[in-house]
Amino acid sequence: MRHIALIDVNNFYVSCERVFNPKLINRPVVVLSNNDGCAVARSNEVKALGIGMGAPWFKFKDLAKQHGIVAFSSNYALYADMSNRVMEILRDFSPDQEIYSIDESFLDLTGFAKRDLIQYGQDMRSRILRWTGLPVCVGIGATKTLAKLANHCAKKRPVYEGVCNFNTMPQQELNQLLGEIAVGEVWGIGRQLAPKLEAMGIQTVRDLKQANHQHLRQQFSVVMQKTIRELNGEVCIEMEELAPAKKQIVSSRSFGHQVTDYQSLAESITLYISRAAEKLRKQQSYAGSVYVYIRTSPFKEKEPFYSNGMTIPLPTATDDTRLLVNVALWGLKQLFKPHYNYAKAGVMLSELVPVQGIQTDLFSSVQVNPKSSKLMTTLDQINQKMGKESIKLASEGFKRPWKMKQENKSPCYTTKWEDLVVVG
Amino acid sequence: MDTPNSKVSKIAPRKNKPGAGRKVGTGKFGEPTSVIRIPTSLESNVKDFLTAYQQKTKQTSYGEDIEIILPAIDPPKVFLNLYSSQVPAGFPSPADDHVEKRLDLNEFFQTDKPYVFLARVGGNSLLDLGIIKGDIAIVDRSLPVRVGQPVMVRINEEFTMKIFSVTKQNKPLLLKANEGDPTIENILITDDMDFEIWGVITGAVHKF
Repeated sequence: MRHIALIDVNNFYVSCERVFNPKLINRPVVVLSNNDGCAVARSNEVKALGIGMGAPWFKFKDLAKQHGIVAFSSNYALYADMSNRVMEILRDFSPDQEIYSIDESFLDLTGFAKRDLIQYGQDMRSRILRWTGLPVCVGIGATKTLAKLANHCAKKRPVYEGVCNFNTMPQQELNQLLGEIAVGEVWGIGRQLAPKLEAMGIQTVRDLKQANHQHLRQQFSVVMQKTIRELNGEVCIEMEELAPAKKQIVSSRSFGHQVTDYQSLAESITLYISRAAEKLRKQQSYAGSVYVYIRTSPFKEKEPFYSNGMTIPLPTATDDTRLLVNVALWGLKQLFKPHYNYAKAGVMLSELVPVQGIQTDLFSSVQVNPKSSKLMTTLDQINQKMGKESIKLASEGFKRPWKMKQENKSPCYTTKWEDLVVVG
Repeated sequence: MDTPNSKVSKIAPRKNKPGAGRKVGTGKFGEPTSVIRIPTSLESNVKDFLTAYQQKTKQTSYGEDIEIILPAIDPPKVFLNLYSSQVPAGFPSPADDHVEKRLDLNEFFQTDKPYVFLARVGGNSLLDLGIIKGDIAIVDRSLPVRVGQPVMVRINEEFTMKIFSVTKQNKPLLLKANEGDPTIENILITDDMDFEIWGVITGAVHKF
């Protein structure tokens, strides 16, 4: 039997804020998404007030005032640094690690099965708490799907003290436990599939585990069949040690203020392309097509609504910011209509191909343009060394009146000299 | 013995009048040309290549909006490593075996470890240890605390830096290290305080 652990940080963004700001301990704290739009992380106190994940800020602003909720804008520099620390510490517990998200990591502990894995999980918890100040929970199971569920139990049920191991549980006890968990909690089921399953009489995880996977495969997909087999302890989803290169790179934001002119839209599109192209080069890929879209706010019912986007295929795949910007701005020109209040714009780079795998033939000179790749490498290096946007395309704009709101961002405690925590 | 090749060499060169014939460089390639024999099977390939080459040399312009993709005649440059000493040709550098990494303050202060954090010193509680207001303190969260060590602690909702000690009753006692400033006081930790040792101070950096 395999022993796979999923470790995740409780209320990750909120916990990061609390490490450096003791005034937040025991206070209701919420972290808002880009542009201060929705709640993306909530402290337990906020959850208790009934504010859901993704709740729009303007809707619970009054409630926040009433209960003294402290709201932060997202501070990704801080969260990324704290995430790297946690992942590095976890690597000491098993060489087989899959970093699943900014606050979640799978570890294959099969090679450590002779140990008491619950104690091993407790060691992880106490070391991460001691070394970083962040609380984590550990779930262990025979498959990744079971590990995810075990982690859910470790978090929600205090009896497990933060570590839940399905593999050491008697079968009967495990089935009883799974019978108490809603089917929507299963990894990959989610909000869309859960109602369909419930309509078929599959309410709990145990119901799904005991369902006929052949039958459900016909009704849904092969993914559903895999999920059921995973629930029964059969590994169908392997550990992926290297995060697979992304197939698409998206960069989009809501604007801080509504935008009506072409110039502001062009500046924002240029900026998003620059960001996306930087990511593209980081994962050593070329993009084969560019998608551009703009839209007005769907929430303002009195204003005219406009939303449009287009995909532009590139003659040759590239990672050159300048070429991508030219193409995207050409697309924007086709999409742009005057007299609308635009609220959001975005770009997506797709049909990505790895640099190594690119076809070089006798009659193409574009891909192997050493001048372009050298320029882009230099650009990335300077920006890494001297700080973001030290060098940029002028069309990104300088004043950026449309830039997103981040009204209450905490200091970058671990990544900026001038933002270090001050201790008297 | 005559070979087919040696026959060719026997053909007497035609004598041209000086200045007669087509001017050098005025042909379709814009440069001197020469005659060669090629295998018949490759004739079409070579012709295609020459047509492409001719187009490239023409530098045709169709206006700015259209980008013409030209064949790669110039091979992309390949960059090779330049080695510091070339062994076969000469005497090897006697230093090559002794190359060491330059000193790195990250290594010295362990600042690249996941459990090490930096904090700005905001007061003079530890002045007598040489930790001055404005310095950057290196705080290690992995070390067990011992009596006599400088520490960063949290008391209720505040951070502070002091020297860790304990009373005879085994209660934490935080000592100041500043004889000259009577406004700074030692702190005895009592049961009603929410107290946590945030980390052990392993160093401080002062920049002039």
